[in-house]
Amino acid sequence: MKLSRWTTWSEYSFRAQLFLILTLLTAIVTIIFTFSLISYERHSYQQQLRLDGQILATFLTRELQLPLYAENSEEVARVSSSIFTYKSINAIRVRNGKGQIMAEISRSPSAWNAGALSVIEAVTTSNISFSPEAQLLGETLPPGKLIGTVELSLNTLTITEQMQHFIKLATIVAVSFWITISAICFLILKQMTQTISLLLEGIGKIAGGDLDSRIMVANSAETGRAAATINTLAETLQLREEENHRLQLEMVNSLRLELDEEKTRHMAKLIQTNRMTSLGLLVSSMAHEINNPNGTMRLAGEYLAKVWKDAEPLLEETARDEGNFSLGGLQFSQAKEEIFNAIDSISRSSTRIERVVQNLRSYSLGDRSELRHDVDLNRVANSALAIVRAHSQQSDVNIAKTLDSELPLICGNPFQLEQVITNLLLNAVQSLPPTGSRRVFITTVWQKHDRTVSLEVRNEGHGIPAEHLPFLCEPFFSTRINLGGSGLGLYIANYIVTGHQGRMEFSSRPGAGTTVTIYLPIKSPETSPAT
Amino acid sequence: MRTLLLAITAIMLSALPASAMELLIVQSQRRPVYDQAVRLIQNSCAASSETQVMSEYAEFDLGRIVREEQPRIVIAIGQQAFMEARKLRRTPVVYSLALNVDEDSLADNINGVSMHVSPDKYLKLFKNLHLHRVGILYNPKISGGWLKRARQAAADAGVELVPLVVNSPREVPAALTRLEKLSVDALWMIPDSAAVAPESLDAYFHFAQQESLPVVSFARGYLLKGAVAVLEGSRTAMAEQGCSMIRKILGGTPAAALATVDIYEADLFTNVNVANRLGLKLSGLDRLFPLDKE
Repeated sequence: MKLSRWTTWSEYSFRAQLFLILTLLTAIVTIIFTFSLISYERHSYQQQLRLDGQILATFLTRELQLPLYAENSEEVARVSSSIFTYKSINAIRVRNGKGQIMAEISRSPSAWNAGALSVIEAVTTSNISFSPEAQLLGETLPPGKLIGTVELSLNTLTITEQMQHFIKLATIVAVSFWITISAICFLILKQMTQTISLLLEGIGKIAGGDLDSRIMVANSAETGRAAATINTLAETLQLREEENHRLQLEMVNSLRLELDEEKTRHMAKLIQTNRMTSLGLLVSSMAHEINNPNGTMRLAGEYLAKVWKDAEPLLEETARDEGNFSLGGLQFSQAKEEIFNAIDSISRSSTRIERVVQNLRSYSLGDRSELRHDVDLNRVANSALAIVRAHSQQSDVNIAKTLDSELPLICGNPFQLEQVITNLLLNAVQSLPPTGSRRVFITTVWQKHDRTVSLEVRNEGHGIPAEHLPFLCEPFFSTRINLGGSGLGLYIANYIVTGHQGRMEFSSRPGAGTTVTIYLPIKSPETSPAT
Repeated sequence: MRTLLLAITAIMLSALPASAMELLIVQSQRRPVYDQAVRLIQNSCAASSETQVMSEYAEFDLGRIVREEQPRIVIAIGQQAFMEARKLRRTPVVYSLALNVDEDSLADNINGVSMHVSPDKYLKLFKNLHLHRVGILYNPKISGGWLKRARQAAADAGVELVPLVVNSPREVPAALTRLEKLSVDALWMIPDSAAVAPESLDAYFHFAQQESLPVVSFARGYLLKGAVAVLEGSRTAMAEQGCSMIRKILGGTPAAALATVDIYEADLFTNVNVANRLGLKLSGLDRLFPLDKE
């Protein structure tokens, strides 16, 4: 209950709270002052009545001095009656020096009740200082002798009536004062808190997001300074908001552009991947289609060789017997050499076709997860060279190889390693300038000291900018993305080499070419290469 | 003060040689005015003296003291001392500062200085103020002797006194009522405790106010009550007069040959406001009373 009451109190506006506090304080102060005034006035009335009674008693004592001295009861009663006409007197009682009542007049029987306001005055003989002896001897003597007492019971009814009237008047004045002060307080508070209301209203608008709103408080007081500060903050917030909006737009546009580029790159990679897949299938199909006629051609060649082997002695004998005869436009002595070369060429060409096709099939359909312990890196390098040379048959690139004859066998996947070397060689060839030195060097070395074999591919091309070196093994990083590069070659190569517990290092200087070296351990890898 | 010292010195030089215990001073009680009177007498008379204060004794027997001490003169200071001293029959008594003294009933051995100023002084004042018929209330037992002297002096001065007898202050209002019918020009208050008492004092002045009569009194305090003029006896003069009487007795003059004297020197005090209200002119009084004061 208390909590809810305080909550309700705290929900009042600042103006209402101040008004309530001031009104209550004014009411309390007014009540205190009114009660104090009434109390003081009541005391004053009593004092005044007592003073009036004292004056009347003094007057009566003087009037009664001689009658009391002479103990003239009739005169005492007459003098008392003359004083009794005053309304402030409720009763009069006069006693002589022996305490006997000489006269008593009363308006009511209860005039002498306990608690009644009364005054008692002693009646004495005149001051004997005025006696002849005292005057002649020049001395001040004590007061005269007591010859009686005068008791006045005062009429407090007049006080009650006066107090009732005064309380009504004081209440009306107090309420009027309280209402007037409250109204003045309200007007003053309204004037004082008007700026606070404007301030709060403006803050509310700004907090609600209306940053164009401004607080119109023009004075130089605290509220005016607060309004100016809040206006400045709103302007700053507005500028920041606009700046943020602009930056967001720029970021969205940039992201959109990057997404478009990324999409383009992904689509190019997908297309390339699809093309490579199709190419693989085409190669496989072509190999199958080539192998059949090539087998026929090879069998025909072998048959021709056998035929030639059987026919040559006969033809030799005929030539000896019948002389040199013409065969195919050439003398038999010349023709037999050409025929032998032709048959041999057919055999070698078919063999070569078979090997190329076999390599193509192995590249496209071979078991690429096969792990072998007798991998000859030189042989793998030759296979890769064959592929690259076939790819760059029409170009003028000179690929020089220096293969270490003492290179030990290593453990690994020859197909994956071949793919690595092929990628390195293709990158080296594709990085060569169109004119000038177009040479690529491939070298294998047996590194005895750390029991590794190394394969180095070097070209004399433009080199790689230093800022690109840290990103060479990142996926989809390529400077030839528009020329069909996928950005996956070196990423895959590094993946394969790392899978073989090896490492790949790059060395390049702008204008001096690039050298890529892979190091592979000769011991068996603890884990199988990447699949 | 300077005059007083010179007078005292002169008196001392002229004093007769006194035998041992010449003066027995009986003082009613310890009061400043009595002490002052004793000092003045001792200084002025230059006689050997002994002072007895009655209030310091439970029972004061002056007769026994006189028999034992045999003083040549008993000096009574105050009313009680006078009342005690008047019992002596042979030893000369000089009294002072005693108010109620019936001079006619005094024995021959008793003399003194009354508290009345000499009537001549008053009569001069009345004449000067053109007050020819003066009412006076008195008690014959107290002021009878003085009134005889006053009447004599008044007759000489051409002023008519209208005396009314009162035996107590209670009779004052009635006496004043009677006086109203006697067409007096002024009211003369005398130091008579029966005629003038605190309880009857207002009656005097109310009557005077009602009848527009000037009141001439004997003490300055009554100026405040409404008296127009006051002749106040000089205590120094009173002491000198007392000493003169003592010296005469010591010099061999019989006490019976002496008489009570009034104060021959008085100071005049006036209330100008009352005089103006009554239309009295106070000018010229300074010639009559050199020590005139207002």
